[in-house]
Amino acid sequence: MRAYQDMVYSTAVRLTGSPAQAEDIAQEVFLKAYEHFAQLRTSAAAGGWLKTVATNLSLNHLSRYRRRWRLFSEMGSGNDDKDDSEPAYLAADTLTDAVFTTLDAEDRRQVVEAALAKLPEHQRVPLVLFHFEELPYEEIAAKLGVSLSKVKTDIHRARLQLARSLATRADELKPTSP
Amino acid sequence: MNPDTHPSGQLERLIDQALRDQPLLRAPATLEANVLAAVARVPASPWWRRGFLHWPVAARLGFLIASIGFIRIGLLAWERVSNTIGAVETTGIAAVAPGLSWAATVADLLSALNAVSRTLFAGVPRDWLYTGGAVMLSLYALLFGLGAMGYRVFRARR
Repeated sequence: MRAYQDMVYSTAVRLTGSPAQAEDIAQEVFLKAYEHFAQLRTSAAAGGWLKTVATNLSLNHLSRYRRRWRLFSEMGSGNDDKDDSEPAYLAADTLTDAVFTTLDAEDRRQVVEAALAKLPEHQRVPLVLFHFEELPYEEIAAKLGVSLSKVKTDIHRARLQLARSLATRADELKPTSP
Repeated sequence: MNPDTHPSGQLERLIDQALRDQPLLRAPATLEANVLAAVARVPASPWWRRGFLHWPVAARLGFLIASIGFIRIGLLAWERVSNTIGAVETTGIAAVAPGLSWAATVADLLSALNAVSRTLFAGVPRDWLYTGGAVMLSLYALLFGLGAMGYRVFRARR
């Protein structure tokens, strides 16, 4: 369990955005693993099995509440996409430089985790499934029960939001010229 | 700095690299102890408190047979009630069950109440009924909204 607990917990916390819920989900994952201990003990794919179960339980957990409050929260807010067409420009190499040179690994880790937690659920979940779980767009759309175009749009907006957070932090750390 | 007009392919690669570089988050120290405590509780729980698939085979078979029996009893009871109702409609309750003449009184009373309520509803304008229905639906939706807000404020953000 010790070998996998960080992986299971990370999967759940990045999908749910809540450490408390992630801990509950991780506990449930390991209880399921206990039920299948005989098969998992000798399986080389135990890590993959645990990750899949953690992902599915997190999505189940989210969908349990999503239908109930989507109407009242997400549709009502609708302001997470408001900056989509800002005209200012940042060159690719400048942003790459900002993210990977100005920010050290620890800074980047903190900014990314904080920005992930702040993303609305309908952007965070597909982003995590795409970049961390390496699922293709089509599978994400099927898992979440939404259209392919919505998945692509949500992931793109989530990337923009993450890039903004990283760029803002890099700006803060950049030494001011005399 | 603003990455909004960043070419999407480069943005994807950049974010992909930034996310893949993220180390795993450390699980809380309490997780292992909680899992072990939960695992220790599992054998203590009796079979009937676990899922159906974990029941002993004999119990599963017995449950299925009992379920089929209950369904059969329900169907028989329904058939008996239907026959009795048919007989009451054609011959009157006193003829079917002489000891149940009080039931005829109750039936008369219920049918009188039904007639009164039909008359009352017929007098209420349809718009009022629709408005009342809409108000009830709105209150129901509001209840869900408050529940969702409470969940997000007090639990989801923990």
